Amino acid sequence: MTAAVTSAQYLLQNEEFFRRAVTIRRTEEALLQLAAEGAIKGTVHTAIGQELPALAVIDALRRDDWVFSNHRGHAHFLARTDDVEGLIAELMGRTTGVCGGLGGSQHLHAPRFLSNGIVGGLAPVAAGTALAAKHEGSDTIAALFIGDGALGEGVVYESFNIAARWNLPVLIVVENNGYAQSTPIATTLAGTIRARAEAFGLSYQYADSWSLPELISAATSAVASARSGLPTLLEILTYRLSPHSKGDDHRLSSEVDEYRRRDVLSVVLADEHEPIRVIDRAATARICLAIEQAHDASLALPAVSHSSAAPITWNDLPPSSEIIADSIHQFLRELLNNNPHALLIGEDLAAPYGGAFRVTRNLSQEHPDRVINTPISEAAIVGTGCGAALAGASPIVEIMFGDFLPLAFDQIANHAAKFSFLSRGAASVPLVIRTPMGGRRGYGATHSQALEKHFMGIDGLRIVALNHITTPYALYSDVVTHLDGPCLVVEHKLLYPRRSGPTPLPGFRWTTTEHPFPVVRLTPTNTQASLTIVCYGQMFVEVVEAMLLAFREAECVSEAYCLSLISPLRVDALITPVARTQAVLCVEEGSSEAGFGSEILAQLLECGTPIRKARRLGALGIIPAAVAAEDATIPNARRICDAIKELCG
Amino acid sequence: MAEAFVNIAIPQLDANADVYRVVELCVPDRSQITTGAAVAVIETSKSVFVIESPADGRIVFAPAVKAGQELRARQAIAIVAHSEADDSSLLAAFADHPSSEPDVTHLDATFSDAAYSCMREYGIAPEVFRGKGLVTVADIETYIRERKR
Repeated sequence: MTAAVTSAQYLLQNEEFFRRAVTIRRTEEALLQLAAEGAIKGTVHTAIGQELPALAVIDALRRDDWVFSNHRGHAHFLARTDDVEGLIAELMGRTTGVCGGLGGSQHLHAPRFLSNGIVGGLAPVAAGTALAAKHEGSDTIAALFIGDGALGEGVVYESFNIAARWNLPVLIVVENNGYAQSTPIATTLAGTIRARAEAFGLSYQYADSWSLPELISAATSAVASARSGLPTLLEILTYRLSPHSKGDDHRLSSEVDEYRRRDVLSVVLADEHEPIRVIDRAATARICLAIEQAHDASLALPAVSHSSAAPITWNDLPPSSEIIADSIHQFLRELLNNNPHALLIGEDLAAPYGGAFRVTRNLSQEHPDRVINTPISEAAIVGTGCGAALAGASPIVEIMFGDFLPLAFDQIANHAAKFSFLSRGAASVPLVIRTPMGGRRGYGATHSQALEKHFMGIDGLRIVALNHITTPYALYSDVVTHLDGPCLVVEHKLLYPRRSGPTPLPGFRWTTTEHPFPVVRLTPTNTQASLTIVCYGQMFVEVVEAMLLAFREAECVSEAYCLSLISPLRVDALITPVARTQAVLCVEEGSSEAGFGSEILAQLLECGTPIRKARRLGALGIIPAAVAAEDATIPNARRICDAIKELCG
Repeated sequence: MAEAFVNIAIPQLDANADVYRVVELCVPDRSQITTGAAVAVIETSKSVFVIESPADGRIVFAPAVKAGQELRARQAIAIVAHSEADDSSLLAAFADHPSSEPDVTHLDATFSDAAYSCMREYGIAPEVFRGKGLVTVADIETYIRERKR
């Protein structure tokens, strides 16, 4: 008896399994038809021919296990939810879709189910949910579906390494359909998938699409292996009978036909036996009804939020005299003490090192299981934090230098910042990402930058910058209290050893807006400023010094506003003072092109604020290592003072 | 005979850094201090370092040293004087240190350089401008005009 015959018999003997397989097949065929008719816009990545691996694995899982799918995720979604109506409506862009029509083919969400359009990008997220489960003492696992094409992505291996090193309950299912979009695996994959898994110490198992009893047995075994705490990779050889997306298929038709003849579901559906026809007709009827319902539903429209400006009150600053690194340390310490779900994740955090800037010193001795040293894997660090946050933990991840943050850009922009939107708030990612930024340490071009502007404007991401006036403890309390999504906290290196709090400056007054995320200002007490300076972070130190210099040297009187929330950026507190001075100087440590100052000025102009003179001041180029050259490149008090004089003149 | 004072210099804490920022002076100038007490906090490349007093005595900070100032490694930040030493002999220890302008911060006023020169030229005491905030040449001239009346 051939494998195909055995598999067909298995399908026929397991009517519910067969019904679901047929439903997936017919749904995806209908989706392709709808795309051809123009009823579905955008991409439609179907998995026709790969239904059985999806069902076999998901049926071996429990409902409380996590499932992470990919750009080709319809089969996984339907195997998990059987929500044909929600899927069809989603792809047709209707409000009745599973993501309200906002996600489309590649971005599906259901309880403990996520798919996303970045190949391999969910690997560390899956590891993060497994990490959280392990810390909570739960025996749930995270199942990650990737294709063979994902094996070209570096973050996948960062995640393999973390999963194996930390013994995370993760099941990685590689659906090897032989192609990365149109490119055959033979031209992209060196070695074997098995060797790659075993190199990391992952348990490796194998099955194929065409031997269904063996596939189900392998899936069951692989799930049990992962649940036992042994991260496991299950390779399933399969074949996609449909194009990559809609009609783009350059494979030989003879090859596709050969696999179609082997395909178990195709073989059974070709049978005219009445019970099979009944099931097939029922599935088709359900799909037709779902399409009609979707047509009748309203089209999804973006939710536009209109936040009105709250009245601004200025209060005197409370005295403070805490070393900034100590204040952050104290906040983290109390968080670990008071929140059993809190996790600190990053490179070299644990004792005796305690982080590159010693902020997490000794914390691992008090909480050895929750201060977690990672490999040098920034993308996986952020992705793992994202997954842990999804699973209910309270992770704070540290990127040792902000210059390394671009390595995690995809995890921030395409994952952590997106999930809440795509799930309509159901899958929020309360993740804090701490990182030191900035120069004047002589560390050179790749360890001295202020890169936060590249993260500004990412919808779903908040960016907060510490400064030398507002106590870090208070700002971090704001961050955590209002953590409705990922938040990047920028800690300038030069701030760590400083004491926070205002130093009395005769002739000036320090005031602040209310929490959360206060704006601090320094204004003259007995005269009107003729220039408004806007800045954030460590630049406030230089600005204050420059204001005094400019007054002493040229009697230029200016005022300064330091923002702590720099994205999303609001200029509410700036409109009145700028309207009065009509002169603005925006100071930032990074390059000023398309940066903080540009955004400040654009928003002020859009509000109709009268501005006669404006200038942005930022880094003059790539940060050199030589001390004098570095100092000349980054804005310092002298350069800012010169700009003040120019604008006040 | 024992030296009249003990030098306290900025230590070389980091092979890559010659300049250190003074974060805080921990005790008032000319106050008594004991061995091991914190004198100042300076900023190193990655953390802070507390400079401790090497002796008992009276702390005398170098002229113009204040929080925020940058000092070079091995530069004198203070001396600890034995009680019998007089101030004039002590200040010689800071011969290579830049001198400071008179401290007027207690007046709750900040003078522009031009205002300060003008004030000295006309022999006006800074105390006149106590609590006046930012003081400009125009403020000095207004004062002179009103004084003539």
